[in-house]
Formats: sequence, structure tokens, C-alpha cells
Amino acid sequence: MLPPADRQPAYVLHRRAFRETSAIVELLTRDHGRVGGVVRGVKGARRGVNNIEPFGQVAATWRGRGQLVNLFRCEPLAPRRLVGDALFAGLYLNELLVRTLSHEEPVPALFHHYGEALTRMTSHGDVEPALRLFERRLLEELGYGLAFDVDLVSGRPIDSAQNYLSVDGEGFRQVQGGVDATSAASIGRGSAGELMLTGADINAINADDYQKANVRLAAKRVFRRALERRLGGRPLATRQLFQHRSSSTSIRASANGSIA
Amino acid sequence: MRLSPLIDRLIESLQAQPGVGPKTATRTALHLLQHNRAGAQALAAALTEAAERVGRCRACRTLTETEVCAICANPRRDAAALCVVESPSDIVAIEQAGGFSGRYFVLHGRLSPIDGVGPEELGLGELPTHVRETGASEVILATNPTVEGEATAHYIKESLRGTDAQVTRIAHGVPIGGELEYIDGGTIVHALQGRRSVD
Repeated sequence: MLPPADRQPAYVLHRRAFRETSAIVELLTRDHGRVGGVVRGVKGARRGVNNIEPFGQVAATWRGRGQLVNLFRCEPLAPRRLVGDALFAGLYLNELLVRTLSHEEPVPALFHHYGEALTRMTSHGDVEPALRLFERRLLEELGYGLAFDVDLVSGRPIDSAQNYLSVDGEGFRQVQGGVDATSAASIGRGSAGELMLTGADINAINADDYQKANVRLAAKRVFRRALERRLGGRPLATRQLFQHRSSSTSIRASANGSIA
Repeated sequence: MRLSPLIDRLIESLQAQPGVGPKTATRTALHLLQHNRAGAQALAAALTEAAERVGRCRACRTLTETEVCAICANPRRDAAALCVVESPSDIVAIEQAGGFSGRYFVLHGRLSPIDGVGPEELGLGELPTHVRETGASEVILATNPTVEGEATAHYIKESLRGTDAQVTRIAHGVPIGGELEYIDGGTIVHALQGRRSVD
């Protein structure tokens, strides 16, 4: 059961209007993971007290039990404003967290990583590396981390000159014979639908080095596939938003259209 | 307390109104039945007719029982300026304030992917066509300065890239008559970022 908390640091992931002046909010708290609660008086005269918006950091005070706690106070500590691509990317992170975390599952490192991802997205125009870094940390925290450093079969370090196939939930194994390692198709498919990557791309992902477009594409596919296992078939709505957006315009986006 | 089946049903129905709980609903029901039967009849007739006949304007999607709303049908309204708002109540607020003589486009919501509200639910696919057809030269994004409102504005800005319209966003910041020391940090940051030179 969730213990009461006083001024627990938390990030606002989502807020939805509830009744006349209340809101249901989803928080990523430092010590208690994802917490959902009802905040009263978010509209009208007391709004200044409970000015809570996604991405902002708040100090949350709650009592109660079950899926929704009673949030007495949600004091804004550090509001954060994301604009443009970073705003969409931030909404993607929030949906990812709401969809993959269950309530009250402590994920202390994620609180830190989430803050870092927001800072990275606010300060750089390029949000894609921040998304990949966060996805990797999220998978690790959820216990779905992948081994990017060794061949699962031989146990040897990943060789930049070889090709590898993904092994769901675990990592990569080297493709045995018959495949041209210099083939330009850096990201193909194996016969059973596995992802095929070059060792060089896997090494770059392991080093969090997203300078090259092919590494970005490979990492996006790898993390998307890993996250899908946790999302249970229902696609992320924010991802559809990126697709809508890139199909209707000619915005800068990586190889297959979207950044998420 | 239970009164009679009909009165109880009336009290329950009256609670469909925002801000009306059981107490106010009971008082209203008893007042109408005791002192104002004619008013009750008129209310019932107006509600029935409005609920049956009010739909959406073909051009701007606001609520109206005519095919095209009064603002869209008014030739004196400036077709060059199109103001995009989240709800019909925003039109009321802007019209009461005065100072805007253009036309509107009502989204009936804001992008909120987690809650399942995407571009299609808001009619955003129609907007570029609407802008081209009306020949609007400026599209003013007047969605609320919330995260969802900003996301909606950003999406619209991107989707209007193929049109000739200039896309602008309403200003956000310190309210007139406000005092800085009572304003939240987010608004102050926004107000500073959006500062402009003194005329």
C-alpha cells in the first residue's frame, strides 16, 4: 500500500479535468514510482497554488490508498516549457511512462533519467538522441534491458565488421555465414522477423553515440520492438501523432518519418 | 430524501448542468414546480428544441442550428483572419472582449494523445482545406496556453505549412492589472521570453 507522503518530488506526466474544478493527475515520483491522484481546486481562484502542467516538477503531498490518492497539494517547484519537436517528444515520453509503469512500482533511477531527458530536449534542438537514451534506461529499469556489448551465443564482444540478429528481450547473436557483412542494408530482417543490425551500429548504440542516421534508425527499431513487448499490442497514440504530422508536412525527420 | 418518481427524475436530470449538485437541483426543481410552471414549460421546450436541432456550422464547426453560423454568414466579418479556438465558449469570450472582426474555427477539444484525442477527433484534417477555401491570410492560434493547447498549436502550425497563410499565436503573460509577485514562475518565464520592444 502506498504510504502517505509530504512534499514528495515528482514530475507531472498527465493531467485530466475531473468534475468542475478538480483534476486527475499522473505523477512520476522520486520514491514511489508512478502515482495517480485527484487534486482539487486546479481551476479558479486557487489555481496559483496548484498550477500543475505536464513536464513540471512539483512537491506532492498525499494521503489515501488504491489507484487514486488524494493529493492535498501539488506545489509547482520548477515549471518546464517544451516547444516544437521537444513538446511532442515530451508527450511521447509521458505516454510511454503512463503505459509501461504500473502504479507504485518504485523506479528511483527513472525519476533522474526523466529529468535528464527533459533537460537534454530543452537545451538541444535535436531531441532524437534524448528519446533513445531514455528508452534504453526505461527498458533497463523495467527489467527488459538488452545486452549491447556481447554476442549472446559466443560471449565474445560485438564485432563491428559482423552482422547480428536481435534476440527478443535479450540482445544480439552473430549471423552465421552466408550473409554479406558489407551489405548496405544495415537494418534488415532475419527469416523469423528478427531485426538484423551491423556490429558497428550495435557498438554505437552501446556507446549512446547517435551522430549517424543509420544508428538512429537501428536504435529506434530495436527499442520500439523491445517496448512493444511491454505495451501489449496497443500502439502509442503520440507515435501516431508524429506519423500524422510527418505525412502532412515535409518536416525534418529521420529515415522512416518520425522521431519516436 | 425521495419525493416522487417524477420529481426525483427532474432533480437527477437538472444535475446534468455544470456546477449543479443535488442541493441546487432540488431547490430549482421545487421552485419551478411551486412558483414558475410557465417558466418550467418554456425551459423544457427550449431544451428539447435545442437538443434536437443544434448542430455544427459547416464552415467553422461551432454550435448552431443553421447550416452556417451567424458569424460565418456575416459578410462584414473579415475572412482574411481566422482564429482557431478550442471551444464555442472561447468564441463567446473573444466576442465579448471585442476587437476581433475575423472568423473562427472551433476544434471542440485539444490534442491529448493519452486520452485518445488525436488530430482526426478535432477535425484538423479539414483545417488546411478550410484555410485555402476561405483565403485566410492569417491564422491566429488561440488554443489555451496548456501543454495540450501548445501541442495542438504546434501541430496546426506544421499542418498549415503548405498554405499561404501566416500563422500566429496569441500572446501569453502577465494579465492586465496583475502583480508580478503573485504570478506563477511558468507565466513569468513565458512573459519574459515573449517580451517586445516598447512602442
